Formats: sequence, structure tokens, C-alpha cells
Amino acid sequence: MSGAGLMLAALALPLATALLIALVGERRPDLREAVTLAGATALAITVALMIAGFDSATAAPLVLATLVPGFSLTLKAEPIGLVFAGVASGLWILNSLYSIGYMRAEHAPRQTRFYACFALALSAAMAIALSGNLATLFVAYEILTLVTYPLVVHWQTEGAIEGARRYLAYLLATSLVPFMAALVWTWVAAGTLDFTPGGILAGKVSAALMPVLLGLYAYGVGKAALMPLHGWLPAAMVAPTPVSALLHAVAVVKAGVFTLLKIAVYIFGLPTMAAAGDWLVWVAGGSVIAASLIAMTKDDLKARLAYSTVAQLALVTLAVALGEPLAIAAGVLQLVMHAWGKITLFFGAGAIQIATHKKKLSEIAGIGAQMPLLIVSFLGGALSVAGLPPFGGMWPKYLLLEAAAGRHMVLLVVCLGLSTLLTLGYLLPVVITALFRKPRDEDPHALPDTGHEPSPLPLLALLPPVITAAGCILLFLAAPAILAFIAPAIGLETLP
Amino acid sequence: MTEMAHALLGGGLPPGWPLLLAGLIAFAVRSEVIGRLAGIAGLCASLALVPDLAAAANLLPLELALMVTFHLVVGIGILFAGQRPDRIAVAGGLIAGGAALAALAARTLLGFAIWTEVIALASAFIVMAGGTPRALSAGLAYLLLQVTAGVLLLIAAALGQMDAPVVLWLLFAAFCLKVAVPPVHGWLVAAYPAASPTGSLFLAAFATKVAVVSLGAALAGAEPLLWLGLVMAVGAAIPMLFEAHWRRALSWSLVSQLGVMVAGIGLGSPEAMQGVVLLAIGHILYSTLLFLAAGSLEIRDGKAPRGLRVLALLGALSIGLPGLAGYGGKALIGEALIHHHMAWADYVIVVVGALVFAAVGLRPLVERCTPAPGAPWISLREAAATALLVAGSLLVGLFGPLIAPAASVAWHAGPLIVQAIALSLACLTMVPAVRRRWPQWPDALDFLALPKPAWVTGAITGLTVFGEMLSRIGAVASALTAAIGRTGGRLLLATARGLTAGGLGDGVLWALALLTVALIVSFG
Amino acid sequence: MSVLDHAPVLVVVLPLLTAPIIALLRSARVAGVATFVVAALDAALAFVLFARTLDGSVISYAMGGWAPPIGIEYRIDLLSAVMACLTSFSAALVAWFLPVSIAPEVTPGDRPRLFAAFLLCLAGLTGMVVTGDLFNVFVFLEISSLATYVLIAAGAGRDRRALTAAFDYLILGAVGATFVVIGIAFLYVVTGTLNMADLGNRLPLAGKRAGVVGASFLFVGLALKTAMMPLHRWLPNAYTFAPAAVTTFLAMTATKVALYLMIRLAVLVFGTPDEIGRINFATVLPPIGLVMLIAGSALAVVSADLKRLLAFSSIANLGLMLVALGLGGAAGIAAALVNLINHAVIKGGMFATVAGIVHRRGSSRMDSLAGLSREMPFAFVFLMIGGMGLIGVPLTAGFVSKLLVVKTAFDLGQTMIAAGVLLSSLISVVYVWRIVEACMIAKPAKPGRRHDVHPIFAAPMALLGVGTLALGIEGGPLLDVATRIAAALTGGAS
Repeated sequence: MSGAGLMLAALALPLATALLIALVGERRPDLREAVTLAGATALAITVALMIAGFDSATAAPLVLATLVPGFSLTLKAEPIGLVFAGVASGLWILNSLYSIGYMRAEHAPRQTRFYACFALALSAAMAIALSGNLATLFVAYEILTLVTYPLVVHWQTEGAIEGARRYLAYLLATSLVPFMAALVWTWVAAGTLDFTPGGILAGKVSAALMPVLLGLYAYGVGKAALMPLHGWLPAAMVAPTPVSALLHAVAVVKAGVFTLLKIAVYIFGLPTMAAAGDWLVWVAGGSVIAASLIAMTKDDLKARLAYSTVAQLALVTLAVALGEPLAIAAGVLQLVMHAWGKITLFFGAGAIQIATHKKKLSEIAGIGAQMPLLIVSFLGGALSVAGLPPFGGMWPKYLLLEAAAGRHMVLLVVCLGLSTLLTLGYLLPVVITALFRKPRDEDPHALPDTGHEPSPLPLLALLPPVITAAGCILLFLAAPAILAFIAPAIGLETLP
Repeated sequence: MTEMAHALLGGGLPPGWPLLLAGLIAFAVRSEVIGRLAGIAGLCASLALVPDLAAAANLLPLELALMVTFHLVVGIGILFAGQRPDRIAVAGGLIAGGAALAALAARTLLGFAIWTEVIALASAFIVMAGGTPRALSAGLAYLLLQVTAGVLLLIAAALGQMDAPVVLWLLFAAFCLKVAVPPVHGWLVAAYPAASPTGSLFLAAFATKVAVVSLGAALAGAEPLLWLGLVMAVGAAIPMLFEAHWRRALSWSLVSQLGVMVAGIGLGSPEAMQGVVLLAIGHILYSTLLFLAAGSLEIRDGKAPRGLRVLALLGALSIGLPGLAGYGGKALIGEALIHHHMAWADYVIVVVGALVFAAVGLRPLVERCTPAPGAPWISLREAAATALLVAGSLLVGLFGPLIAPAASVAWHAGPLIVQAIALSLACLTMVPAVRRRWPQWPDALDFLALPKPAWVTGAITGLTVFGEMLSRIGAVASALTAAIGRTGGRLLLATARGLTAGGLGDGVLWALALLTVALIVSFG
Repeated sequence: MSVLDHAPVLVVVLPLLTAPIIALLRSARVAGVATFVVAALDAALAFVLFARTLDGSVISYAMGGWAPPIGIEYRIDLLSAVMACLTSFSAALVAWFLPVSIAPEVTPGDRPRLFAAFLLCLAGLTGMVVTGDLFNVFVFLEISSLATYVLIAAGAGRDRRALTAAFDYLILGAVGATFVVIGIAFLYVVTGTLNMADLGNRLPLAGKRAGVVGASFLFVGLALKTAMMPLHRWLPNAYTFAPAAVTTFLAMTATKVALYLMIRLAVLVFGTPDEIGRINFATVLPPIGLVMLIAGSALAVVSADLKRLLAFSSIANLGLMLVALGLGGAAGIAAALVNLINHAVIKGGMFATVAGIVHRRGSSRMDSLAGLSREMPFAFVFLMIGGMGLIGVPLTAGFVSKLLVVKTAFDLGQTMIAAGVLLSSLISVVYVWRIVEACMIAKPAKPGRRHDVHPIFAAPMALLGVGTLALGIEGGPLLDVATRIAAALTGGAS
């Protein structure tokens, strides 16, 4: 199949899946779930074919439509985008399996809408990954926000409605004002919106204004959750856990940091980026530390993980701000590794909720005895997110250290080292409490527990986290291959 | 790709991969028996691969001996675990063992950093598996401190060729953390006894020794280490003397003997370095034996089985008897000290060695290892383990010079005589009159074990304060923004209403007003 | 001379003359069908005009063979043709569902007269856009206004306040029309001609004072018709209480035609594309436009009725059009025109959907929309499409509109205006999301069964909804036409 055909398939398959899901509806739930899985598998195969067959010399843009002359919807395969597409499509399969287990265990309503919107979100994510210019990326980015709204508001309780409003408010406000302003500014200054190796802005915007433009992008891409515009992430925790997994690992936040990566490499160009990005390095670094500290205070597991995501995303923003090939490589790796690590953690939190109906750290003492494999998977994800070997998460941290060391930024090196320790500080207690602390009923001074009888963990909710945790270890070994794939695109001559 | 790939695979699978694999299996599978069987299979496979490894990596005989010793310890640990099943300890021990082999064979700092992190993780879990609140606290502190050291190593690896002094400082800091150099030594004393008896066996063998041998090679000749080492050796011996809990006393003795090794590194001469590795090997052997004895006692709740005395005696003798493991390395380091014109330091080491012999060898033997009438015998496993360890000890003790050429100095008259005197004096302390006046209590001189685990875990809580502060700032900012937004919105609405509301008359008036303005503007 | 050569006048005369005939019909059903047929034919005629002027030619048709400037000339260029298409296509779409839609509100006996009023309104609006004679403009303005008052008042069947709304509009509309005729009078006095092209030639040579006074009167009068703030008071009530089908038609045409007039007068009569007399668009329009954008959106947020919400949203969008016009130059005019057409399509679609909803449920109050997503999914989908268009979500026409305005502003260095436009789109998110939540999230008092809109509403809703998306995905053709018009207007004017 030709490159253009594969790209179209990548967009069309999830759309078709969504349509089929809507048609099958509530009448045949098993068939509906099978459609989801089939669509996810087909998409993963398509992306795999694209990656295998990728050749930068022959990758041609595919114009889908032209909204206005100069603003066209164009698809073009390139390495960073293919990496993102690979992560999203691969994790969709696992997330779907998990969703089936989770939603059925919780007897959730409106499941058809859930699965259909999921598929639509994946289509939008694919469009973002394969975008050939900033216009396409912006369009798909907006659509992603809207399509994930029904997912976030799923339970339709007071809290869910409020949380979904915040989600939407932050994301639409940032994209409709700063992002769009930056986009039009770029369009007017550079005359084009095409993603071009080496960037399109060099010399087109004055050096004094370049940081302003960067700021508009950094905060305009609200999905990257840069502090202080990160509030939507914790607010979106009202969603069912598979949606949180999607938001925080598969599609939404990754789309955000991916956008920043693309803008850095193909719109600004790395030298321009490095010159304009000094302030952003400090803001992002501060974000890492601040979010990690806040995460330590949260008792609710998902809130803890939400702030963890804010911190980890800030690392990608940090990488982007450094503006060097090595740092960008670290950013891409962080995108991949964090996706797999974080989704493991969310799977774990959700599974704990299904089995024990507990959501808070203070309530999960000793549950490791019921679900040791799950907690161990959670541990694997935690260690990966913290950046310890032998888990994949180590590589981005290490490359960032190299980049920071190369620029003699001592404070940054310290900050990076601290982030590992802080991450352990807020993630390890979960594992330790679950595995090693005694449950409260053995404590004579504890209040009586009004909890329900623990339910058994469905296999579909247990298997995905185990797979993704194992994936974190495999990714540790696969990192050099990923680097080799993206090296030509980002100008990385000597691989670390 | 060069550094990463080398760090990862260095041309093939990492050394010790059978052990790593066995550890994962032991972890994943519920059955203890299968876990141990996997461990034995992994052990045999790994041993079989050692000759190839030696050839490929050009290992020195000393390094080879160290690796074999690691294997021996793994085997001992598996044997002992058969006594009282301990799945996490076995799995952790296997993984730590495999990672230790890989760490020793690592040729880049990055690779070394990666594998020592794995050791740290596995060891931390062994500690936490002890189950008590104390074990949890100690294990968490252990992990955090070791990860800090690992991060320092990663930073050093990232710095690479630039900033050599900084790299050295980083390595020094990491070394101090990993080898329990004061003032960051307390984690060892807190963590090792808190693990299960089987766990302690594994803990004592790998983490610190790998650090001493590998990082020591990088820091050889750093003068401060010489003095730090001597302080360690003496300083740790004092609490050891008064510690009532056998495994905790053994932990203090471990710190003390590490001090001797650190001093040797500080000397940096070739014979000192050989002494360091030789002592490391010897120490592994005798401390494992002693931990075995202590463990046997603990799993029987303090009721000594028959045959334990033999075990304990052999362990005690291994500490310093010439011909057994512990003596060769210490003598070598002592000789190096003499050559460095620090003969007094040699005597210090000998005295410390004797104190160790007395405190953790003789005294427990005399006071606790006497079986009650009708007590059962030690198990076949324990006996086998003892035999293996003693065999190893003898091999190293008698044939030390084969692997460490300079070790032949241990058989010179001078060191032998000094050692004999020291040991005899030590035996004298066992005279009841002296023994009765020698106090012992649990957690003796605990204030000397710094930093306390509670401080480390407390740091987390301490940081939470900052987190709370930030949260509160965030909440205030949110509320403020929302309030401004609301007020702004209301203002906006009021203005908009003002422009739209009103009746028909207002509309006409506005039209006239606008006309007037238009005319004025046009003519103005 | 074929019939089509008379298209310029037929497009006005056809509805004008058939209106009384339809008024006299007995059967409401026949009257309704006839109305649609007339409107459809009118649309066809307008399309012919469009086809003929696409290459840039200007059709000049002398009424009765009397040559201008003495005779009344019908002057149709591409802009007029496009506007004529707008009015007639809107009328055809609305006429399709008008009979069914007003059935609950108007007694069968009154319906033929209502349809006649509808056709008269169409005639008046179309006449305004095709004529080349200034007084003719006033005549048609009055015809369409009077017809509009009747149409609005027809809403009294559902809500008595329609009568007050119609009355208010009547008074204010009369004031506006009076200002317009006074302005025309002043111009006539100084130049002696009523032909717009001729005026354009003679005005520079005539007395300054009277011309300027006339310009001011004209501007204020048109401002009222365009619902420019602060003369917009009539619009919310008129749109809210008129029957939904009438609102659909008005939203698509009335204010748009007035805006067209402003452009036409500036270019043709005064010869300056960016001012009328001394009233400079660039100074006056952007501030007013931004205020309308923000205030209109703000009031939409707090509206309790869906039609009122959409009415305020229309005010906001009109503000956007004024901002575009105020940016000036060919780019500004092109942006304004694109906005105009796009908004007509989006708002038309939404109001058509609302008409369907009101017809089924009897009310357009926000709290009565609960459960819509389940019970009327077809209507919900098109309401959503329109809503996304109002926010300016990419792939809808609203995004193209907004993008053009913002880009033009940036191109001209007017970053403040661009920022203002972007910020106001935030407020539109709030009120559109109110609609979404009202339909999707709010729990109905008692869950109803699935009972979607009457089938007759389907075609208009679908056509306009698809149009919203099509104009958003391929906005090139429309922009091309608008650019050509703008170029002709700014290039031709001297």
C-alpha cells in the first residue's frame, strides 16, 4: 500500500470504527467491543507498516482539503510523528482491553458513546501525528479537545460536569486565543505553515519578539499542561480511569508535547529555539519541581498521578526549550517512555478501584496481598516514570542530563536529579503502602471500615498493566533503535 | 549508539543474565520450590558461563574469584531459603547477584550506574520484605539513598569527559553513599538487620562489595579515603562491641571491615588494591557464614540447634585465622600501610580485626550457641552451606597468593605473629570475669548510626510541606482568577445590558444621539 | 430577448406580483406550496444572474426601456447577484418548511396572507440588492420592513410579546427609514439625480455640506437596520418572538442586506470604499464591532431562551462583520463578505433546527431542551454543528470566517483587533456550551420517547448543516468570489 494510502487508512480506520460502534450500539455489546479491538489492531498494523516502510526521501505530502488558500489540511509522514502514532496506536489496543474490563466491572452506562468517542479521539491523534503543517495540526488538536469532552463528562455527575467544564475551558481558551494568535502570527511572518526541516521562522521575527511567540505557543498548547495553566489535568480526573489513561498516556497530553516538539523542530528550527527558549527552560524546570512537590501531598491516587503527569510533561517542555538535537531526542523518548509508564500507573489505580472500591492512598494498606501482580506492575511503571534503570524511563532523563551538562547548566542538572528522587517520593509510598503496610483492620485503634467486600480483579483489567510494565523494560532495550529512527530528522549526528 | 548499546549489551547479553532471569521467574511464580529450582538452574548456567566471560573480558584472577564468590553466596542463600521459605529474598538475591556480575563486568560508567541501580532496587526490596515497620522505614531510606547515589553516577556518566574534577567529586559522593562511609553509613546498620535472615545473606554480599571494588578502582590513591577508612574501621567497631543483636553487630562489623577496604583504596598502591579485593572476597565468605549462624539462631527463635557451635566457631575463625579467608586481605593491606610508613595503622587494623573476632565471633558462640538438651541438629542444608563456605574460605586463605600475587606477604612471620597475639588477646576477653563486665544491649549507641531512616523518610514528609504550600498558592491563585473573572463577567454583563435594555423611547433617543454624534463628527 | 434577459427585474417582480394572488387563495395548503414554488423560481433566477456576472460583468437593466439616469436602472454586479442568491435561496429554504412550522401559531385562514407578507419581504430585500436607483432602495426598504413587521407579529399565536416586539421594530424601523429618506433627499438636492452611479459622478462636484449631512443621515439609518450598537435593541425581541421560520429568514437576510447597502453606498455613491461621507469605517466600525462581539456574546450567555441566545449571537457575529469591514481595503471587504455568507448559513441552519425543535416541543426555552440528545438526535447533531460553527471550530464555516478576519488584522498590523476577536470567541464557547449541556447533560423532568423533528425540516437543516461543514472544509471558492468582488469594488471606485 502506498504511503498516502496508509496515511489515509490511519485516519479513516478509527473513524470507520467509531461509525460501526455507533451502528452496533447497545444491542450487541460483545460485537461492539470486538469492533473496537479489530479497529485498534488494524490501526496498529497500519502504523507499523508506515514505520517499516518509512523513507524520508520518498515521503510525500498528501493534501486533503484547503480551507483557505495557504491553510490546507496536509498529511506527511515523518519520524517523530510516526513514533507518536506508534505509541498511540499500540496503547489503544491495550487501553481498549482494559476499558472492557473496567467498564463492565463498574456496570457503566453510555458505553457506546464511550467507545465511539475513543475511536474518534484516536483518529484525531493520528491526524496530529501525521500532520504536514501547523494548520492540520491545529485543526486536529481542536477536534481532539471536543471529541474527548463526552469521555471526560462520562459519569455526568455534578463533579463530572464541573470537571469537564474546567477541562474544556482551559483547553479551548488556550487554543482559541494564544495558540491561534501564534499560528496566525507565524503564518503572516513566514508566509507558510508547512513543517519544514530547519524551521520557517529563522530571521522572520525579531529576536526580541521570538520569546513572546514561543510563550504564545508554550501556553497556547494547553494540552502540554505547563504550569500555571495545568489545572485542567487534575480536573479531568473525574473521568473513568480508562479515559484518564487515554488522556494522560495515549492521546491528549502526548498530543500536547508532540505539538511542542514539532513546533520546535519544524517551525522554529533548533538554533532559533535555543536562542528564544531560555526563559522556558526555567519555567519548565520549576514546573517539574513544583508539580512533583504538590503530587506528594495528594491522598487521592488519581490526583497524585495527575500532578505526576504535569511534572513529567514539563520535562518534555524543558527538552524543547533547550533546543538541541540531544534534548529533542530526550523529549521524544520521554514521550514514549512516559506514555507506557503512566498508562501502567493509571491501569493500576483503576484496577485497585474496581477490586477494592478504594481511591485513596490512606485506604489501600495491605491490598497487595490480593493483587500482588498488579502492584508489582504498578511498581514497574513507577520506577520507569522515576527514571531508574532497567526501565525505559531512564533514557530520557539521562539524555537530558547530558544536554544540561553540555550547556554547563548546573542548576538544571540538580533539578533533574531531584525530579527522580521526588518522583520516587510520591510514587513509592503507593507501592509500599499496598505491599508492606498492614491493613487497617489489624490496627486496634483504626476506625471501622465500611468498605465493600473486595471483588476479584477481572483478567482484562489485570493483563494490560502487566503488559505495559513489561513493555517499560523492553523499551529500555529498544531506546537506541528509536533514537536511530529519529536521528536524521532532528539533526542528531553522533548518537549518545 | 555506541555508549548506550555498550552500556546495555556490551556485545551480547549481560553477564549474569541467567541469574537475572531466574530471579524474575522466582518473583513471578508463587511456588517457593520452583523459585529455588529456577535459582539453582540459573546459578549453574551462570557458573558455566563464567570461563567464557573471563576470557572475553580479560578478567584478572582476583576479579574472577570475586565473581565465583558471588555465585557461591547465591547458592548459599538458596540453600538457606529452603529452611524458611522467603520468596522475595530469593528473587531479590538472584537479581542482585546477576546485576552484581554485570556491574563488575561493565566497562563504561553508564553501564555500571545502570547495574548498580538494579542491585539497589533488588536489595531495597529484600529489606522491605522484612515486614516490620522498621524494615519498611529502613528499606525506603535505603532505596532513596542508593538511588541518590545512582543519580550522582548517572550525572557523572552524562558529564563524560568534561569537567574531570566534578566527575571525581560525584564519584566520591556516590562511593561514600554506597560504601557506608561516615557520615552516611547509618542506612546499612538499619537496613541489614531489618531484612529476613535469608535476606541479610544476600544484602551483605553484593551491593557494598561491587561499589568498593569498581568505584574503588576509580578513586584509588585518594588520600582522604585513607583517613576516612581508618575512622570507619575504628568508629564502627565501638557500637559493634556493645550491640546485643547479633545481626546488627555483624552490620557494624561490616562497616568496620569496609573501612579497612576504604583505607586500602586510599593507599592506592597495587598491593593495597589487591588486598582490598582479597579482603572483599574473604569478608563475603566469613560474613556470610556468620550471618548464616545468626540466621539459624533466629529462625529457631533463639533456641540453638546442635552443631551450631561448630558453625559459629568456623565463622569466627574465618575472621582472622591465617589459612582462612579473612586474614589474607587484611594482612596485605596492613603491609601496604607499613610500606606507606603508617605502621601504627597496621596495628589499628589488627586490633580492630581482633575486636571483630571477639564481638561477633567468639561472644555469640560462647553465650548463645549452646544447645539445650535434646535440641535438634542443624539441617542438612545448613551443614552443606557451612561446608561450602569453609571450603571456599580455605581455598582463598591457603591459595590466596595464587590469585593475588602480593598476598604471599600474609605468610611472613611478622604479620603472623602480630595476628596470633591479637587473636589470643581476643580469646582472653571470653574469660567470664571479663565477659561479665562487658555490657551489651540492643541498638547500642544507636545515635552513632547516621543518618537515621526516619530522617530520610521524614525528608519526604518535610517536602510535603512545600507541596502543601504550593497547593495552597495554586488554590488561592485559582480562586482569585475565578473571582476576577466573575467580577469582570458581571461588569461586562451590566454594561451590555445597559446598552440593550430599556424601552422603545430609549431606542429612539439613541438613534437621535447617534445622529447628532455623526453630524458633529462629520463637521468637526 | 428571452425571459432570462429580464431576470434582473423578474427576480423582484415575481414575488411582488404573486404575493397578492397568494393572499387571496382560500386553501392554506395551496398557498404554502405556491409560496415555495415562487421562492424556488426566484432562486433559480438569482442563480442565473450569478452565473452571468461571475466573470465580472455588470448587468445594466433599464426599467421600461427608459435609460438612466432619468429612468430607474437595475444594476447587477457580482456582489448584487450573490446577495440576490442569498435572499432568494434563504426564502426558498424557509418556504419549504414555513407552512408546517407556523401551523401551530397561525390559523389556517390567516396563513395565505402571511405567505403573501413573506413573499413581499423577499421582494423588498431582493429589490434592495438589485436596484441601481437610490430612491428605489428606499421603496424596497419600506416594503420589506412593513412585511417584516407583519411576519414578526405572526408570532403572537405562541407568545403575545411578539406584538410588542413588532411594534418596537415598527417604530424604530420607521425612524431608520425616515433617516434614510432624509439622507437621500439631501443628496438629491445637491446633485439632482437619484441614480447611484450618477450620484457617484456628481457628488464630488456638488456642495460639500449637504452631501455630508446626507451621508450622516444615511449612515445612522442604515446603522439601525444593521442593528449596529447602540441601535440594536429591536433585534433580540424581534428574533425571539417571531415564529421560528420567520426568524430563520430574517437571520439569514435582513441585517445582511443592510450591511450590503452600507458597502454599496460607500463604493458607488460616495466613491470611497472605506467611508460614507466623513464617517470613516476604519475609525468607527472596529470599536463598535468589538463591543458588539463582546456584549452580544455576554448577553447570549445569560439568555434563558434558545432563540434569544442565538439572536444575541447574531449581534456578536454582526460585530465581527463590522470589524472586518473596518479593517478596510480589499482584504477587509472580502473578509466581511465571507463572514456574511458563512454566518447566514450557520445561523440559518441553527434557526431551522430550532424551528424543528419548537414545532415538536412547543418551546425554545433552554430548560425545555433537556434530553434533546436522546429524543431528537437528528436535531441535536445539527444544533451541534451550528454551535461549533459559532465558536469557530476548525472544519466549520465559522473558523474560516474568524481566521480570515484575524489574518487580515495581523497582515495590517492591527494586533489589538485580532486579540479582541480571539478573546471574544472565548465567550462564544460559554454560550454554545450552555446549549450542549442543556441538551446533553441536563436531566429531563420525565424522559420522553424518541420523537425527532418533522421530516419537512430535515432537508433545510441538512442542507445548511452540510453547508456549514462544506464552507469550512473548502472555503476557497467562496473566498475567491469574495476577493473578486472586493477587488472590483476597491479597484473600480475612484
